[in-house]
Amino acid sequence: MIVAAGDFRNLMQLPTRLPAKLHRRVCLVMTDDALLAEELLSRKKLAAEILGRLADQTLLIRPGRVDAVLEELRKMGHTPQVFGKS
Amino acid sequence: MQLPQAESSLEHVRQSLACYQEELLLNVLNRLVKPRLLPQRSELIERILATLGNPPVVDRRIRDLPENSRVLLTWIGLSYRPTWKVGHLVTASACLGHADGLLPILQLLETGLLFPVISDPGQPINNFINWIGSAGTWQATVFSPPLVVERARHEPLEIPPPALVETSLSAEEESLRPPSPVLLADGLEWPLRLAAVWQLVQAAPMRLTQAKSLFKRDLARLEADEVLKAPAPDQLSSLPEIGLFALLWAEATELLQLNNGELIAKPFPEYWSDDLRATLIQLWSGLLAVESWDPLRGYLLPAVGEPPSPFPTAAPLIMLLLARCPPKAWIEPSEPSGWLWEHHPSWAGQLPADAAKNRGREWVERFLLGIAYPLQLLEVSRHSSGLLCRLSSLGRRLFAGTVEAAPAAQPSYPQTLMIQPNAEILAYRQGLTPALIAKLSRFARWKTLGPACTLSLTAEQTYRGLESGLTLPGIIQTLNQQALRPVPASVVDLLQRWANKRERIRVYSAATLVEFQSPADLDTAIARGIVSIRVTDRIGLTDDGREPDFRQLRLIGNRDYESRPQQCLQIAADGLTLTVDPTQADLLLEAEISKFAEPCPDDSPGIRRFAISPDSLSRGVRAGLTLSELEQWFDQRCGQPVPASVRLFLTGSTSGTIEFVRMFVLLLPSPEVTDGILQWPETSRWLGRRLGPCAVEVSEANYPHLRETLARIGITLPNSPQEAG
Repeated sequence: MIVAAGDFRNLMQLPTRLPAKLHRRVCLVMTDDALLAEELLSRKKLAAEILGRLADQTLLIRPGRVDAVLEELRKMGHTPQVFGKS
Repeated sequence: MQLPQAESSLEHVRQSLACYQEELLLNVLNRLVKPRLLPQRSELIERILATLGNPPVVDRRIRDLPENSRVLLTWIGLSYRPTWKVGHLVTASACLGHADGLLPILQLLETGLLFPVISDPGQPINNFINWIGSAGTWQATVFSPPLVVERARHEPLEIPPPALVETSLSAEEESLRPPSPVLLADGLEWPLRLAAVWQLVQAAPMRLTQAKSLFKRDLARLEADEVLKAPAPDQLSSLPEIGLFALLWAEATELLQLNNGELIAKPFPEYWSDDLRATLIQLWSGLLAVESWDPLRGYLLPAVGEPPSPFPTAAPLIMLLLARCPPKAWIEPSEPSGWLWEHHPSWAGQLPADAAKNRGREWVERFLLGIAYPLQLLEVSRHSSGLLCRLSSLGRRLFAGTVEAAPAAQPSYPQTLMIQPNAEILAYRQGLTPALIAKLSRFARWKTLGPACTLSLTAEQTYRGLESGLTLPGIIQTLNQQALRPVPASVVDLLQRWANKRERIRVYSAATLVEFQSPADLDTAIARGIVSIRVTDRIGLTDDGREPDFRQLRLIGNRDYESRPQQCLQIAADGLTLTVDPTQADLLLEAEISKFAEPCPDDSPGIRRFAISPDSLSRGVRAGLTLSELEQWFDQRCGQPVPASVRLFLTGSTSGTIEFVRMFVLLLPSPEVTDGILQWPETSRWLGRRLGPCAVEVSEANYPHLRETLARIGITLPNSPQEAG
C-alpha cells in the first residue's frame, strides 16, 4: 500500500507542515515601540536608507546598507543589538 | 597573508606540499622520509606529515644537516617564532657566521624542515629558488613545523663569544658586590598596553594609506591616548612612539587584523587564557614580526625595495648573547651592542648618526630595559655604575635552554577588583592575569595603568562587550567573582539600564522572515517554536534572525533580497493599474510601490492591485522620485517600460505648447485619388496630414489655393468648406 506523505504524517502523528514563503537576507530594524520607529524615520540620513515600514515597529533597510544605518544609529546615541553580522 | 600558528601548522604544511610539483615533492620525501620503497603518489604528502611528527627521525635529520643550515634552524627554534621572511633568515645566518646567502634556507626547504607560506594556492612550486625569486626575499615567507623547531631548539648554537662575556662580572665577583635588590617586572605591562590599544581600535578602526602607513589623524590618536602615553610604573627606559609600537605589536600578535585597508579589533586570541608566562612567550613571538618600528627611531616605514628594520633579527640575537653569560653574572644593558655592531649586516647601517658614535649602545639598552624587562625576560639590579641586567629564570629557560625548577607558587589574588559606586573599577595588579585583562577589556575602559590600574564602566564599552557575546549576568558575575566586595547596587542598575537600552533597537543584517498564509498559521508556528517574533499578522522571525526549522515548513516561495528584484506586477490596459503576482511578490514591493501608487480599495480577497493617479505620482515626485528611477523600477518589477499614461502624468506639463486650430477634412472618392493629390507637389503643399485612406486635413487658409489648383485638372470643389458641409 502506498501512503501519501500527508497521510504518513497523520499516521505517525507528526504535525503538519505549514505552508510558508521565505524572505531571505532581509535587512531590518526592529524597535521596542512604534514611537522609536517614528523617531528613526524622522532622521533624514536614516530615512534615506529605509525602504519602508513593514509594521509599526519594523523598518525595512536597503540591502547592503546595514553599516550606514548602524553608524547613524550610534551617532544618535542608540546602542543597537546587531544580529547576523560577522 | 595568514601566518601559520603552532597548532595548525601541520595543516599549513599540507597546504604548502599541495603546491609542490611531483618532482619537488619526491625530492623532499627522499631527503626527509628516506623511504626504502617509493610510496604511491597519493601517499607522498601523508608520509611527509607522518615523519614531521616523529621526534627521533626529526632529530636525525637535523643532525644530518650541514652546519650552516643546522645553526639557522636552531636559531629559528630559539627565536620562538616559527615564521620568518627569507630576508631576515639570510641576515640571521650571516650574523651567526654563515654568510652563505640563500643556501642554508634552500637546504632546509629541500630537506622538508622548512616550508613556504603559500599566498597563492593556485601557483605550483617546482623550484625553491624560482619561488623565492618571484616573491622577493622580503616577501617570501617560510615556516618550520612545531616539532622541528622544538627539537632544533636543543641543538648547540655556537655563537662566537661576544665581548660582553669577557667584560661581564663573574659569579664570584658578583658575590663580592654589596647586595642590592633584584628587580623583576610583573610581566603585565605589555599585556595591559596591548589591551588598551585593542580597545582604541575597537572603538574606531584605523585606516591605512595605500602605502600601508597610518594616517596622521590615527597617529595623533595613538600619541594623544592618555593610557598609552603614560610611563610604566617601573619604567627603566623610555621608548619612542610607544602607542604606535603597541599597535604594531598587537597586529603581530593577532589582536588586530587588517581588513579592507583598515585595522580592526579581533577577539582576544586563545593564548590570553593561558598562564602569564605562556602569554608572554606568545607576545615575544609576535614582537619579532614588528618591522616598522625601532627603539631609537620609532615609527619607520621602509621605502619600496629597502630592507625593513633589523629589529626582528637583532632582538633574539641580543637575548641569545645574554644567554651566553654565566647564570648569575650581571652585565651592562648596552653591552651586546658591540657584538651586534660587528656581526649584524644591516643593524649598524640603520642606526642614526649620533647613535652610531657609541655603536648603538642606546638602541640595545632601550630594547632590553624598555621591552625585554617588562616581559619578565630580564632581571635588573641597580649599581653605582648604573643598571645591570641578566636573564631572568624565564629568559634562561627560553634562550639558554635551562630546565628551571618549577616556579615558586605565586600567591593568587582572585579578588583583585574594587568596584566603586561611580562605576569606576580599581584593579590591583597582583591579581591581574592575561585572561582577566582580556575579559575586563571587553566591557570596561582602561583609564590608567599603574600599580593599581583604573577602569571605567561606560555605556559604549558595556555595549561593545555585549555585542562581542558577553551577557549582562556574565559581566556582573565576573565583577562579583573578582571584586573585594559585591558590585554596588547602583552599578548593577547602571549596567542593567545600558543593557536594556541595547534591547530597544535590534538590527538584523540578513534575517530570514517567514511569511505564512494566514494569521492562524503564524500563531501555530509560534506555538511550535518555528518562529518566535511576530513581525506582522502573517510574518514571523526567529529570535536571532536565522533560518527556521525547515522540517516543519512546506516552502511555497523563496526570495533572496540580495539578488535582483523579481518581476511581480502585471500592467492593465490603462497603464495605471498594477496587479500583484502573490507568488513572486516580496516585502519590498509594497514599500516601493506605495511611494507613487495607492492600493485599490475594493479588491476581492487574494487579489492585490495598485492604481497610479496624477496625485499619487506627484506625491512620489515631491519625495524625490525621478523618471529614470521609475523607468528602472518598471523594468525590474513589470518587465516593461513606463506606460504612456504614467509618462504623460510625469512629463505632460513639460511636453511643449498645445495649440487648438480649425481644420477641415477633405474626403476623396478613392484611395488612388488621395494618393495622387498627396503626391502632386502642386496640391500636396496645401494639404495637412493624411487621416485615412481617403481623408486628408486642410486648413481654412489653404482651401482656396487647393480649390484653384484642383480646378486646373478638372476637379471642382465648393467655393468654401462651409458650403460643402
